[in-house]
Amino acid sequence: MKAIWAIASVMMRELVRKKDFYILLIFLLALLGFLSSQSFFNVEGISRYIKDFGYSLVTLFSFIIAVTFTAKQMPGELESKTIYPLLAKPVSRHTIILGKFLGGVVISSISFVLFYGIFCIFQWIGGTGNSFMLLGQGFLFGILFLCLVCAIAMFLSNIMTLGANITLSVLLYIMISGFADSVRDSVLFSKGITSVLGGIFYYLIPHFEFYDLRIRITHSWDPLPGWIVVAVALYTCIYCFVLIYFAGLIFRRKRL
Amino acid sequence: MREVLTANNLSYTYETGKKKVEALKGLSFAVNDGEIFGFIGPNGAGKTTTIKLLLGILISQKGELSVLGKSPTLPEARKSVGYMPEIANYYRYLTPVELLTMYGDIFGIEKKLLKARINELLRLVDLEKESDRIMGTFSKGMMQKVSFAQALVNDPDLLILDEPSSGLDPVARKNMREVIKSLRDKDKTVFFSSHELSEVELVSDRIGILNRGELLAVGPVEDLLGEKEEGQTLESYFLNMIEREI
Amino acid sequence: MNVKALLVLFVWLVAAAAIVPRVDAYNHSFLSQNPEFDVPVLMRMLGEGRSILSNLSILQADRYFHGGVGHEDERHQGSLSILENETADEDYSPVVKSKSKVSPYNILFRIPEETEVTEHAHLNGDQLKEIVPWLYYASEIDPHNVRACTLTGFYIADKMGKVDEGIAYLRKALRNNPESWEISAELGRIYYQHEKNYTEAERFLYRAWLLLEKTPHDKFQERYVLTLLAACYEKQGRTKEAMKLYEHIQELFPDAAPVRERIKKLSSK
Repeated sequence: MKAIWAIASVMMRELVRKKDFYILLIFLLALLGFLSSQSFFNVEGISRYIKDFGYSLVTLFSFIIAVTFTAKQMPGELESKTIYPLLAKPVSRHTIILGKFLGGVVISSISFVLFYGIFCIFQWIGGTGNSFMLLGQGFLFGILFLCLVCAIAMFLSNIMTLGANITLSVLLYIMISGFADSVRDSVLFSKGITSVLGGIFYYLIPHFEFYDLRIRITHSWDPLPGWIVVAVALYTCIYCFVLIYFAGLIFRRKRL
Repeated sequence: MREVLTANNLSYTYETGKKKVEALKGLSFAVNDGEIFGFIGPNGAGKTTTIKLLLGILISQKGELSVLGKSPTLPEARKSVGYMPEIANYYRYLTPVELLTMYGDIFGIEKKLLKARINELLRLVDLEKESDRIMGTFSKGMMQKVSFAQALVNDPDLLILDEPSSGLDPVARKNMREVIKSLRDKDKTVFFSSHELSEVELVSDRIGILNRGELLAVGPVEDLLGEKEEGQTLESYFLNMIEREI
Repeated sequence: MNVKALLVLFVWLVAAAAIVPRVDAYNHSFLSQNPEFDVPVLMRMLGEGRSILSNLSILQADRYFHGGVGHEDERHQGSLSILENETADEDYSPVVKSKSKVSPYNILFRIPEETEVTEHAHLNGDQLKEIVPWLYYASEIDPHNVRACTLTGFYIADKMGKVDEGIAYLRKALRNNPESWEISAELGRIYYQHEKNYTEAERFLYRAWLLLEKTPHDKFQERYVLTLLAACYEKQGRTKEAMKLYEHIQELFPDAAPVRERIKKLSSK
């Protein structure tokens, strides 16, 4: 565990020392500030569109950090040859993958905590906050979402180049967020072999849409039932475990 | 004397598409406890492949390999091994202290002990003043010093050095030689590859000459030099051996 | 290398910012026979994509009206509630979730049923202000989107009670779209209903009628403008002129009882 944490901690220092995070933080502050200062025909107390944009920006910026930082870990190690002194230490290749994955999760979560905190502060200043339960669920789902994103980026980084990895991760996110519902409906209404194959496909794809609480938070709907929170958390754990396990297997077979 | 490192009939072939390159052909040697073993050979002789096999980075396709009595593919086998790579490249956004702390944590060294060890190592490689500077601003020589320090962070019983003196100025080179010699006094084993034959001659107890994946000669420096004609240096002896092969 | 690339990018951006808006403005005024309008450079650089974005913004306003949920209810399929002037009417009871047809063991198919918001709701009262930003953006992005302009004017003046702001906004919209009978009629309606300024109302409604005559239209649109105009005349005591308009409406809708009654009432005066 100490070795996994040691590998992950390097990524935390990378986050602190590189400009990416600060640029996104300034961007978020500037955009939220701009949105809050907008006046529409002297109508006061408009809040939902700020919550809508704010939540989307928080998710997007954390996603960018999760994908870019995690995806470049393994190619970066191989390209700069820093992997050799690391492999010469008493760690297995699975430990390295796990450490890098944990690093990705930790840094994107740190970013998310900060971004989400700023988002909540803006809500609080505007006097339009959500229920504590719903904000808590939004926070938890955000972290779980980032775990899944990091696991996918880590898995893909073992089988493709950095550019291809980032492109595919972004495409997967857009496509699944946009079309998972249509896939679900078509599987439910199909029969025979189409239904079976569609079902398998539906079970295999990463369900980013499960984590999207934007509408619920923006329009202050009720929080999700507890069993859904548990189910989504379990789903994330299982999906991440499988991806990281296979990433480790691929990395172990890689000739360096 | 205990054998710290043994290779028996070791072979390794790289396959790139249809092309096959035999990097090692039945390599057999042993390194004893507390000795300094110099591994020399021209470019492409198989030195780095051998080192990668010793560290478990590559897995041998044929033959047997033992490092400190264990198979090098097991992480436990590397607990008492230090490694300095040929290209000293480390996380450029870290300071030397942070890098050494990270490696120390991987070895599971206790916090207090690690702190003392890091200070000692930075003093040893003359990087005390730069201990909190980001390594992105370091010269090649300074990186080489960091690389040497990280290889020693776990106080290893076996130190594997790949071209340790490349990029170092003459003073630093001399210092490194002194450190390597001092390790012998502490009963540590050093296995190092180098192009600098004069350096190998100065430090090594025994040397192995590798060419095209085959070991041409192994033995104490004096014994090997005893075979040569009068007035010959290790360099001319080495060149003669290689040319005979060609 | 990086400096060169930055320089090329900078020159490209400056050139694009200088040329694209001018070309777009020329194209727009040439094709639509409308005068140029005041739009930020960034918006102009979107070109014809503005129209799509503007309509998307209206759709988003409609989603907000339904608490962020699209038109799931069949009563609304294919139309926009915000256009129909709906509010939180009593006949809208929240949709009760029916029992899921998906097996509880088919967990990944069950989760979206819970995470997705499917309840039906309408914004009402003070909450209606939440759709204003989207209406504002719709008309800001494409000032020639007449539907966006009239909707925005209606929501500001009628729903938010900001009559002065609504009038100022619609006057600006009319400058950008001088040929639009819809904006003119909306301005006339607001002057009539909220300001009780019948002279101004008449001016805009009459103008709307003239513009309407020049464009293809249906009799319902004509009835809408003429009814308001006739009402203006009535309020000003110009009974004869009002009568003429009601008679014209009756020609369009011979069976319209309210119009017939109106004419009867005016004749008896």
